[in-house]
Amino acid sequence: MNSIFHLPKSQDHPIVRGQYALYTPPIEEFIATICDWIDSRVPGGYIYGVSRLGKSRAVKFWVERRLSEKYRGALPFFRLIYKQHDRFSETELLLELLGASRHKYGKSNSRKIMLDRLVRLYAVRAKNAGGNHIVLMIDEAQDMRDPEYRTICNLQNELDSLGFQLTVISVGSQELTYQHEVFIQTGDIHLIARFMVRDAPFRGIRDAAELRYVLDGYDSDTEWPEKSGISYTRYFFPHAFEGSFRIANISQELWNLFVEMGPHSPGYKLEVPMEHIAKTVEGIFRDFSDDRMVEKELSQEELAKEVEKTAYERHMRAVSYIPSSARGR
Amino acid sequence: MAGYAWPNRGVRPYESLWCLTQRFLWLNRPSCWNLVQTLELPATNIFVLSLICTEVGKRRFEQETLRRLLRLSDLQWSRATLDMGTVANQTCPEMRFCPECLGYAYHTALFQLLTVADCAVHGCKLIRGCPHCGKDIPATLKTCLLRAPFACPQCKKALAEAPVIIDSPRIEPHRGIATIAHWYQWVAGLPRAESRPLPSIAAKKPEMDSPVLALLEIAGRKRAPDTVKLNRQPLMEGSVLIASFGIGIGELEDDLLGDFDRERRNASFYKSYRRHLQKKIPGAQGLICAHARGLERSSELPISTASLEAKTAAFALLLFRWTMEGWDNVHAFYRRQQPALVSVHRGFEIPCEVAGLHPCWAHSFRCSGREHQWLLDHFFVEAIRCVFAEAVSRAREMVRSGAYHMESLTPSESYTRPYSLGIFDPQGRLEFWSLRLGVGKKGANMDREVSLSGADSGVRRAGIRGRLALALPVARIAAPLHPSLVAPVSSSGDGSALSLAPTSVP
Repeated sequence: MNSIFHLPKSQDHPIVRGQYALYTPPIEEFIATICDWIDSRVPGGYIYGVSRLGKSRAVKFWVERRLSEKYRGALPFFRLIYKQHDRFSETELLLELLGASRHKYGKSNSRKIMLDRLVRLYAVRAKNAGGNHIVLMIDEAQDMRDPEYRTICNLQNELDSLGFQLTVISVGSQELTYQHEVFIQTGDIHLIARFMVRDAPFRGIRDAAELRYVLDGYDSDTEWPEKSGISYTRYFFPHAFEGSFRIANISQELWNLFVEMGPHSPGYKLEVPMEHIAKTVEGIFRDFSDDRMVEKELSQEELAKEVEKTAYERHMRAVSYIPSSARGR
Repeated sequence: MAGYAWPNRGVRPYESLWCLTQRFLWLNRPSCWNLVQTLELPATNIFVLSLICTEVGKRRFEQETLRRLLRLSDLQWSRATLDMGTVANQTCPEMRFCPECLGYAYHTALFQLLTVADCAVHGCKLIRGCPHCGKDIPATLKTCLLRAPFACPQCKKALAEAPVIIDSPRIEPHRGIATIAHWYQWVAGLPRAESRPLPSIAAKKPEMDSPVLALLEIAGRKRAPDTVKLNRQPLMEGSVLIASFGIGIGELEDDLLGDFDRERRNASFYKSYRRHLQKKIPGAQGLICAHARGLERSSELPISTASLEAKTAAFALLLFRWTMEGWDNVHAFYRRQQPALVSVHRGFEIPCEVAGLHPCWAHSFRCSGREHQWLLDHFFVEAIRCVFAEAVSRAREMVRSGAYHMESLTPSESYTRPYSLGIFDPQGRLEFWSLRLGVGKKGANMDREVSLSGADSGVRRAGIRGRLALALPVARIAAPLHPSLVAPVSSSGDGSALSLAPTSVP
């Protein structure tokens, strides 16, 4: 028997640290949408969705990797997590963009110099990749207002004058759709024409089959330690995994619980946020992990308890109040 | 390159460090402080650094960080700058450009060579300074370049278009540029022992290049490419002395002489040479005695005032001895209390060091102990001949003006200073070459054939065959390989070369 089974559970495990992201059907759709925009050389679009769906995880863990695979490294990709400030500062935004691009030289007394650095870095990266197209993805974009978009607009213009195209993809909560409306009302049509040409919702898990696909990731598509061939489920339930225990096997029961504990408003179609699925599974791994257990059976009560711990009910009740148009329905 | 904007295929063949640095500054817009941190060098070094020769005056400092920053291989780095040891004062201190190449944001360090007048790629004439306003553009990394990189610091106009700087077009290795570079590389690597290059005459003629290259071209038997416009005129106007180490040099120890023996040997050469001069300048002894009685009465010299040449020669000898023997005053000589020649205070070694006449041995230059001694002898004798030539030059001025004074001569920046060279010919035989500029054949050999006119013109015209016993069994005039190069070369005065036989050593 592999000796690793007898080792105490490492605090470095991604499950323990919460630093992992499973590839889910919504992420697949999200990336397919982005690729479509990129192929169309859209100047800008936005992806919106209620919180806890896993947008940021998708941006952090999957987008760059998938784009790199699809375009074989020929597409420079930059990612900015926008930080809201009390007062807009172009210098701060440029500094954040330079930081996000990992430019060695950050702050300067001159905004022009900072913009030059950014433009030239993007341009050189595009040239090094053998093209003239750059993608900038801004997470938490719901906090961005027109001055921020104007700064990005300058960046896009400068690049355009050098013969490079910048696609700006904003990712944020449903408030992004409100921002779209605000731009229309205030007459900033040019900003819509640049950065909100396209939009797409980011959805949650919609049925038991999708949930099974997600949970199957814990059983087979994950690995820790690296190159050990040990999935997350196998790591936490080594003996049970040797038997027939798989976390994916509880997908139907878990889905039933999500439906049962979710909102029941008329016309509401349930989309379970990934956050609650992940937290539930992490709770099961943490609370029921047993090296000596050959078979593991989780009761309905135990599962319900784990779901409850994630504050699923409360969150979903709040989500149900959001108009369906803003949820992407 | 993580953290910087720098193209993957950033470096083009023979692209200069100036061009690469300008592109880096343009792409990244660093501040002074950024640059200090990046290059890990003090600002005092960075902002005076020459981007043509990577030197700050005579200081050298570690520039590995800069090399890594620009992602230059060792070969690219060596081609990005000029070796000041080779080209020294033949570079233009301000930037020179080919307008066509500048359109590709390209510049090669070879454009800085004054010997290169036209672009080897496009054939157009190189321009000095900004193509727009004509003002000089510094070759150093000055702070003004940070404010407006790849632009003229005066008119601020860009020297190249932004898209070209971002995506610099590939330039195929050009044969013309490579040929020039290879020739200079050959010059730099030519195994030789040499004195310091000739004094700069840039003040008089800014575009004049050093005749050292022309001499190396002949001595090394490798013709410079046509695109390199060597100034061979000084060779025609100056004097070239050639001697070849051959058989019959005598039985010298194969081991190098120690310092003490070397000094004795030099002293012997000096004394022989001095006696030779004294014989040729008969009025000199009287002059020295008269002069010793009182400098204020120096006009009452026992030489006919009608004979200015004789007076010059005699006074030159006095100056020569003053310098070489390290006199404090003439009275010491008059009372025959001159210091012993083998003494730490004697002067006859000083000019060699100070005036750059001491040979520097290239690492690649390997010779036997005997050859080494032979070369040292030749370098020394050329050095003392140079001191005498300088003395003649000063004495002539004094005689002309009538104002006499004694001074120690250091001909480091004088035209009388020779450029001496020890080199192997293609057959592996050691040769000694010496070039003296501007003095002409007559001037260069004044110590051999003193041509005196007037009352004392009865002085015999003697060659340097005397106590120096410069027998010539080993002397030979080197024949340059290229017929076109034969003309400028003149041999020593009497058609023979100076060769020091060991019998002359007391």
